[in-house]
Order: sequence, then C-alpha cells, then structure tokens
Amino acid sequence: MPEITIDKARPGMFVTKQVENDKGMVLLPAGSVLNEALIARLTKWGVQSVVYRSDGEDAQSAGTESKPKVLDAEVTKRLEERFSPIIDDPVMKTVFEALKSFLENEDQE
Amino acid sequence: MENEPPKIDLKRIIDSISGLPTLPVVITKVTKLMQNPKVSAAEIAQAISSDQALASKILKIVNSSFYGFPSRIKTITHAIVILGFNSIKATAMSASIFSSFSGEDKDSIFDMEGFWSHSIGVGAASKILAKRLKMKEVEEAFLAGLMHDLGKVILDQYMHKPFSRILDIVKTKKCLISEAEKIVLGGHTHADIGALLVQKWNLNPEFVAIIKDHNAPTSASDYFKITSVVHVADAFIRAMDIGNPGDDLIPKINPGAWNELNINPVSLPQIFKEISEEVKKTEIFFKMTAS
Repeated sequence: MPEITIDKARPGMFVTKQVENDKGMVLLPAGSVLNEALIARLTKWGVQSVVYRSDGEDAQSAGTESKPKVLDAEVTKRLEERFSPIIDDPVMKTVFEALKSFLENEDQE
Repeated sequence: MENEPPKIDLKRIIDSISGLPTLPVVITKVTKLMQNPKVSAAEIAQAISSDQALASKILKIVNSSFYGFPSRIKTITHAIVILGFNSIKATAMSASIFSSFSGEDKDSIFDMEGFWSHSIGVGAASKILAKRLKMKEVEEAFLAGLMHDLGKVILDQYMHKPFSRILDIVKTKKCLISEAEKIVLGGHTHADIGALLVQKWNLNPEFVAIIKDHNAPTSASDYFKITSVVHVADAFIRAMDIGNPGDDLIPKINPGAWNELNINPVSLPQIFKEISEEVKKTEIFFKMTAS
C-alpha cells in the first residue's frame, strides 16, 4: 500500500492504516477519508506520513458526506470527558459551549 | 499516610540551590536602561549587541514571518525603532528564558516539550486576552503567561525526588498537579517556586505576583486584572488541549477572575480562534530561538 509524507496528502485520500502518535494513541482510524481540516490537524500533531489507497475519488467529493464524523466524534468525546467533572459550573459550561462551537467551525474551514 | 504536611521552608530550599539559572546580564542591563524614559534606541541596541548570540536571535525573529515585515531589518537599532522598546525587551526576555531552560536534561522525568507548548500557549492566550481587554500591558501579559509555570522546571531539574512523588500522585489520584504539590511540599506549589525564582531575578513585582497567584487570583492584589488574564488563559489553553501542564484536567475558573475580565460569552468562539492563530505564530517564534 502506498505511503506518503503528510505534506503530499490530499483531500479524498482513503487512509488504510490507523494513524497513531508516538504514545500509541489513535489519531485517525483506518478507513477515514482525508479532508483539508484533517490533514492540517495531522500535520499539527507531528504525523510524518500516512498509508493510503487512492480511491479514484477527487477532491470535490471530500465534501459534506464523506466528512469523517469519526475524528470529530473523538475530539468531541475527549472534550466532553474532560469537561464532565466541571460542567455543573456555569462559567465552565459557557466555556465548553464556546470551545465546541469554535472546534466545529474550525473543522469546516 | 500523609497526616501532617511536612514543614518546608521553600525559600531556604530555593536559596540553597546552586546553579539555578540566572537571567543573562544583558537583560538586567536593558531593564535598567529602560527605567530611564529618555533612553535612546541606540543605547538599548548597544546593550543588546554586547550579547552577540541574543542579538542575532532577535534579528532572526524580527525578520521572520512572526512579524511579517516586508523589508529586511538589518540592525538592532532599526528593530527597536520599528517594534518599540517594550516589544524588543519582551522578545529578548522570552528568547533568554527559553534558551536557559530548554536544554536537554537526561534526568528529566517531565515532558519538557509539552511543558513549553503549554507555556507558549498561555503566553499567546494572555496576549490575546490583554489586547481584547484593551490593557496597556500586552507584552507583560505575554511574558507572564510564558513564565507562569517555571516553578515546574525548577522542580524537575533541582528537586527531583519530591517531583517524582508529585507526578506519581497525579497519576494515581488523577488530580491537578498543584494538589499533588501541596501534599508533597507542605502546602506549597510550583507557583510559589516560580515566584521565588523571578524574585531572585529581580523582575518587576508584577511578575512575582502574577506567577504566585495565577492558580488563585486574589482581588487583594495590586495586579488582580493581569493575574486574572493569565489565570483564564491557563484554563483556556488546558481546555484547548495545547501542550502538557503535568496533568490532564481543566480547573474551574476562579469566579472573581472571570468577573474581572467581564468577557461577553458571545465573543468566546472568536477569542478561541484568535488564540489558536496566535499560538501557531508564537510557536514559530520559539522554533527560531531554539536554534
């Protein structure tokens, strides 16, 4: 299976091997389709390369339908977990809502 | 097990540590020069240029995309004229602090990279919040944010055994690192250690106060507002999962500090966006100082 460096990754690529960080934490499950936001995030997290299969899909189709809910779900899950001990506090609830809103919009850019 | 917290004279311990990092002489010189309102850019430039390594780092930074100036800045004097005294002083200080502490320590049991990521994040977030609140002390907020957790580095590099115990407690109790520190250090935390350090460095009382109180800002302090900025910035950066402060928790924001800042919740998502962008810019800045 072809492996490419992250700077050559393009939206629409189908990731066939799960991406982990150096602590073994899963950053992206196998079967995800890359989009701009994911590529940016993986780059930010220091990922060097991904193993992919070119699915014949072009960049256009990495739009709303193939937007991987999986990574978003993991980010949301971690956010909710970390906030759950303090969510009863009205200030922290406000912060949580705003952060969630920021992350959702960041994903769409 | 721990019925009575051990009686600890923290100041004595800190004073007795030999080889504690000092601020480069040039920083003390520049700080002193800047106390004179009539000092010229040329005088400051001359002081900075006495430290060649620092001078070339500053020039590298001001010519980088961090500032994004269109034409090349070739001299320190020119850099000072364009950026202003305060900005250059903050740049010089950040570069020095980062260099002093970012060296490889083979005995380190701490995630240093994660620590700096967190510190840079809090610096950047403090800057954004101070700007938003139209405060004068934007550069000071950045510096205070950058330095707020220096006490943890002192613990890691000079108080290894207690720090090892502290990290174990964090792991087993899943508590904030400050809680674990209080148990092992007789009620003291990294905030107290950091404050003692910058006091030794003769930095402004403002920095001493902010670092000491950043976990629990108090309205009794002369520096309540800027301390609240760093306190809230710290919580935001933890919430945004940037860097590693030593534990994986998000502390409750002190209600007094939150009220002091009076942030409109509607503008919070935009604030997070600005913080995120500023953090990226600031990371570039530090990559340049490391080389």
